[in-house]
Amino acid sequence: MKIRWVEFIVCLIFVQPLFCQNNTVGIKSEVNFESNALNFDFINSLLYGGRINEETKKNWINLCKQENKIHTIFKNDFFFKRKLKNNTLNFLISDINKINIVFNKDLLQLALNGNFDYQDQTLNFDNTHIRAERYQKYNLQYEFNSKEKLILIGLSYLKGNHNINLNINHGSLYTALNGEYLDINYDISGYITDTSNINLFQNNGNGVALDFAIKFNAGKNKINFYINNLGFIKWNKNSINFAADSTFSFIGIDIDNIYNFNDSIFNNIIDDRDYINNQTISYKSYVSANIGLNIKTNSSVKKFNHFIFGLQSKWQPYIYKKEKLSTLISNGFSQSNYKPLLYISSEMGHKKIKLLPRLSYGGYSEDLNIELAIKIENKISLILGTKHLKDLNRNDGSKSFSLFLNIYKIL
Amino acid sequence: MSKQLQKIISYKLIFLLVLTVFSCKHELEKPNWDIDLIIPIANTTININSIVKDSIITINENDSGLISLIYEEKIIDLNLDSIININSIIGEQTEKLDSINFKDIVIQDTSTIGELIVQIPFGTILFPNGSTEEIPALPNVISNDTTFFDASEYFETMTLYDGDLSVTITNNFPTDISNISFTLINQNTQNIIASFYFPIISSGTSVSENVSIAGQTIDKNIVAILNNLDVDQSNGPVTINYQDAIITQIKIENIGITQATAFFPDQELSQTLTENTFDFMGAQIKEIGIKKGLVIVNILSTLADTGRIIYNIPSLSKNGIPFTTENIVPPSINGEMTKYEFNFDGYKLDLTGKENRIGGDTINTIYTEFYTFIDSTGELITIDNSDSLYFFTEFKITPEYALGFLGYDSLKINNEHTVINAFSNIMNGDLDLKEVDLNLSINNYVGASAKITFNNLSSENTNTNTLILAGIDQNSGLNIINTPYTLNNASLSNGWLPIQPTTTNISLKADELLEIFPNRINTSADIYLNHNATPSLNGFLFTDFTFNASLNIEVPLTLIANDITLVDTVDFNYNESSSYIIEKLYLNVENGYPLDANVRLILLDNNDNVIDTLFNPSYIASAMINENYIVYEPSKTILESNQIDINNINSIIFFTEFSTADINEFISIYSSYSIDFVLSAKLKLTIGE
Repeated sequence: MKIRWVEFIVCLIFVQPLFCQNNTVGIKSEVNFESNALNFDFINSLLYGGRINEETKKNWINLCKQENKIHTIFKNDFFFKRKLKNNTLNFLISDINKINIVFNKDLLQLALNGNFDYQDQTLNFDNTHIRAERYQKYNLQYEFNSKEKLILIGLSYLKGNHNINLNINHGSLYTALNGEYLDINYDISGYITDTSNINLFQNNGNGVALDFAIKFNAGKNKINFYINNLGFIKWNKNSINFAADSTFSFIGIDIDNIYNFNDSIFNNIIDDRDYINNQTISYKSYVSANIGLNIKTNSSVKKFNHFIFGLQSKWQPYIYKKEKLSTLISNGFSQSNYKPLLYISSEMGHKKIKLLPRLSYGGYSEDLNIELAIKIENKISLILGTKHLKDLNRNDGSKSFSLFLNIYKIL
Repeated sequence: MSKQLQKIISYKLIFLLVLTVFSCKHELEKPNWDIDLIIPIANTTININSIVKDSIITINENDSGLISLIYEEKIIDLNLDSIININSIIGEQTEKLDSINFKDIVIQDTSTIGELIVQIPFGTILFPNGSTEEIPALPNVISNDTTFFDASEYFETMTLYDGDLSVTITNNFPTDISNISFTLINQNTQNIIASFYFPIISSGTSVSENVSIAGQTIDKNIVAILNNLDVDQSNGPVTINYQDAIITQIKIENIGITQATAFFPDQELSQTLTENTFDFMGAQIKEIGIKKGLVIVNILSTLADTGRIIYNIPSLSKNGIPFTTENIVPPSINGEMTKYEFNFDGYKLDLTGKENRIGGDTINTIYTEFYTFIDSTGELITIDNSDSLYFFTEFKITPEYALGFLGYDSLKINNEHTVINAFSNIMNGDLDLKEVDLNLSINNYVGASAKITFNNLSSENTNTNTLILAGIDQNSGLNIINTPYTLNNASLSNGWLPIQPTTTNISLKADELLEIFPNRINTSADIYLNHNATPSLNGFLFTDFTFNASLNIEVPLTLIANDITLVDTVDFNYNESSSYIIEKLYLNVENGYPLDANVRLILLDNNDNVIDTLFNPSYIASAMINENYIVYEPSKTILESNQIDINNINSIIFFTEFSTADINEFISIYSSYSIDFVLSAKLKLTIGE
């Protein structure tokens, strides 16, 4: 029998202290869809789909920007905090599913309409990236607390399940009038983990991630700087790496005799995939790290307990490769497809029931978002909220949707 | 806020959360949508090279790029195998048993004096062994005494048509004997074989007598009855030695067997050394190389025992080794012949007769040696003098070559039709060719001269019942029909290959022959081999190289075409696809030829019903030509199909009509001209199904 050593250690450390005081145990769930252009109807159709009609396609294309981003996450956590005098030991188990897509309008037009309507035009698919990942995170953090400051360090083991990483660095298609020829240019590369077993908890890779945070007092304010989930997963050697890089003009299959005209010609064109180079290979992918800074200040406004002003960014390069550190850092921010999020948040309300509002701008939606959560503190406490309050009543027209729930108990 | 209110709110929120998560659960479903693609399917560039590719037409191009089509077709390829084919039976012969040998039979009997004395009362007392006594006269000392002779080591029974039986009696007694009379009889039948009488046989001498036993039947058990024997008085005392004896020897010799059950010895039955001559109908052949050769030796043996043959054909050799074979011949069952087949592919047949024959080498003759044997099996075998070995040899030879005089022969080419496919796709239209040269080359690869006379040489379109006769030979000024042409004999290089053929050329103007779009060429001719020639053994024939005649037609592509209609039907097997539908086809044409064209693709279903016509109207404009009728710019045409149901198409008729850009002036076709086709299609694909 295989010993699941992480769970074993967790039990040793934490099961006994569950019955001690000042410890916290809880679960968190978060579902989040964000897009800078396409609305929830797009995802809804892709998931629950059925027939996509011409009007829907038209609407989607109209919504499109030149660069379109879609980000979804579905995450479930179990966490436990144990007070050790002034310090705190945190343990977290997360199940994380993420999809992050960037594509331009031309690609969507081609995908939805084909090239017939774009004769004598060039469709450009540069900088199209599709990332999807699923993994579990086993995280251990230690907080050093003092009156002036708090320092947190953490280490995570990442159990990788599945990963897809497709990058169209350059791509274009020119369709001549009447389809007389196609000028095709593409530079596509990608990785995909072993598809022979799509079990949700299949272990196709292992990785590590680091957490670091520091909070300190600056006068009456508290400043918090944090980096969490900075790490990578190394996927096993059964993964597939594919690459295709070509520029050519396609004028159909050369035939010696015009009378050689049958369905094999059509099938050869439709099914020709010989140009893709495949190999099985082990590779690494970065997980999405959060890097942020915020200042907590006391509120002089009635009913608002405090205010937090913050800036959050994400760091996740498309692919793990050897490059200059400065380039890597720079690429990590831009390739996360996450626009730095500026926010202001607060807390208001009664001792037991509080509202947690937040106003933010940026992120995946690149938009102004109102976050609101309700916090009920009791024997079993609960926080329920959304990061996109204004999209709640727009139904399928929403470009964002989120819901998060946190249930915990202080022991 | 009271605690109770907080509790109520908490429970409601939890309830709402659970409701939110579970109440709106939606089944996952794969999305699908249609897209319209337009893609090039196929392209081709057609120039004169691609048009004539894989055909027997070749292209010639002059310095200015003007194209001439060269068409070559063999109209006569004479097979002369029949002149020297060998399909003959030789050496038919029967070897009867009357020639069978049987060795002499010798049987002997010895009667000692001791045996005789024992029979005399008190003989051993009166004449003890070793004593010296005077022997008195003993008349009738032996009478009616019987002796048995056993010949079973030779035979069981023999009926002879010839044979001598001799009796030799040697008297080793110390005294004379006289009045010896005895008879030989067959023990079983008691028939008397022979009787003998010897008046006196002196001591120490022998006497013999010989009788014919022809016509008699002799058993293996022969009884000799000694009717009488007198012992004469000795000349004084003599030494009595009981071992002294009278030896009687019976010998059967010169045996001619009518029927016998005997142990036959190994022996050669026959030896046939003969020359056999083939009839080549006047040809005088000294050597034949065999391409395919089969020699079958047929033997019928009525012997009860196995026979054996040795067959040598010294005239037949391969790599200098003459043919020889030895085979066992089993007794025939139900009169069936035993066949021995020998493959002589690649052999050489010397037809000059036996080596070093008297009178020198001859022709058409082979020398063979045939030996027949019977082998002893150690068993008693019954054979009859009517038993025989009947045999003959079949020769089935297709020659590779023959050396010698091929004889005088007349060969008829009787209305041969040579199919011409070059115009098979042209349905109608008018074609005017400016100039066509036809050269008829007649090659003689045979070591014999000949004369050929054409009775007919014409092109014919059987669809329009049009026939054009070939006309005047431009070399001689005479009409080719009924004019005899001499074909000089070919020669060999140092007596062997390669052949140096001779060629006779006939030149004709042939534009009219081709303008009817012929589908065949008709040829009738008579060939007279060695016409008026003196016989010479230096002639030869290699059957793969005989007489042939080829048409060589050169057509400079300077022409006027008016509504020339090409039709071709091709099968079209389209497997219906659920993933895409072909909505439209586009044919992008860039025409670099000075020809207008109308192209229609007629689509037929399984029952040859017309489904639709693609590209209708379908005019493809001629390329732009200048005042010299030379193309200076190609024209571009896009043909667009109607929406078609491509799934039911079984075949497509390509129907093309074309005319030269100017139908009143000759227009030349140059090698640089081409026409480009790109076929593209609008496809509707359903994504996600």
